[in-house]
Amino acid sequence: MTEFAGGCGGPAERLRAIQAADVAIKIRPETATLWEALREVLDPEVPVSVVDLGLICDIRRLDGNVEVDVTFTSTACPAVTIIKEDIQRRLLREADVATVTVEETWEVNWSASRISTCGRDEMKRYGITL
Amino acid sequence: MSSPDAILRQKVQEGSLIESVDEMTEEYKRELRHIVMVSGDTELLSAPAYYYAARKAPSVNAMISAMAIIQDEMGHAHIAYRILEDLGVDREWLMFEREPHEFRYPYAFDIPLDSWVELCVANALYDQAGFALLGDVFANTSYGPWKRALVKVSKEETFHLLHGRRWMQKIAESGDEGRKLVQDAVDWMFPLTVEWFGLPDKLKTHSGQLDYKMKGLSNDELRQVWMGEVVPFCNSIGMKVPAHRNADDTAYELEYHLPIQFDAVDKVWLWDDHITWEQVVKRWKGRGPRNEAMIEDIQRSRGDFRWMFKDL
Repeated sequence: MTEFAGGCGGPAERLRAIQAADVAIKIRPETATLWEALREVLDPEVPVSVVDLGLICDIRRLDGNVEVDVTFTSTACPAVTIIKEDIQRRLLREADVATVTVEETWEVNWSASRISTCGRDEMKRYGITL
Repeated sequence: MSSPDAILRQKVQEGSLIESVDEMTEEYKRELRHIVMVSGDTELLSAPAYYYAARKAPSVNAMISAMAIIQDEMGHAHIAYRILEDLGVDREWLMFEREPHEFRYPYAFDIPLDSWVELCVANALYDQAGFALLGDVFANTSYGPWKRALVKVSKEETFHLLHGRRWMQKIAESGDEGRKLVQDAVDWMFPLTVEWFGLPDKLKTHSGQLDYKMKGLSNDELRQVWMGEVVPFCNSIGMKVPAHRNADDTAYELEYHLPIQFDAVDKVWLWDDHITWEQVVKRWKGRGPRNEAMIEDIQRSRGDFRWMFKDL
């Protein structure tokens, strides 16, 4: 798997920025376009993508079948259903994606350290500092 | 020579922010207290109004979403009441010592939400009204502390709207039965929210809130902002609403004569029963069916649980 680091900018750079300050998120090369697609799925409260918030833990792809592991900022997150639906809808729009399974995972302890550098910049723009 | 109040009005119209009580005139303070109290009471009363219906959530996740929204609303009320404290209003009095009819919130919340569907339509329609009102305050208010506090509020209200819209769409697309349930709720809640923005501009000869720039848009302008969001959304999911773009495509116009009579018990509008705004104001001031029960539920905590807090 590829490990990305640092910076914001064009698609390639943005992909690299998915890596958070302290937590490296590994991206399987065959899923790179799917990660980029999920940058369009925003958190319902703070308009930062689920990718940049560090909610996406893993994406696996076997032919047209995609599995996404997603975590949330708390176990009582009120937006679980909305976020899972949005992820599924967006990925089904990708070419050659036939099925999308979105699974909640709590094996990852979400913390602000999972937020990407782009996400931090976005949040700052909306008046939220970390 | 201009009075201190005239100087202050000019100052805020030119874009200055008021940051402390020391900078206010008594007139400014009185208007600010009024508008913030309406805002705080509206947020507070939405909590019990939504809670009764949230108990009918169709799943645990849905219940969690609804409770998070209620918690947000309580937090928003807290922000407003905290601002009122700075303006010399006692928070204990605000919460616990007022009579039910003294709370200043939209009449809509006095009409019971009896189902999960009605709660979701309320999130989409009522919260959109709150979003229009507070969005205007955030953009235009001359009171700095309120403006800054609304950053958090607007983020949370965005979620409430999305929650309402998503569920409305889901239920409406589930089949004929679901579509009818959503349409029935829209039928009585749409005109109630139209009323939410108050008297038409032509009947309001003067607005202290606009003079002191506590907000930027008039009642009719805010009604248009609200319809600009709600009408296209409702139409997009196949719901009929009694409003459309006018012939010039410059504004929305209602398809009924405003105001009309409302049967609060059966939750039905009597479309041909034209009344006056005086009668509407009388209905608002008389409050609706759930006013007393909601205030009793809020104030009960003081009597029942006060012993818990006596040493705090």
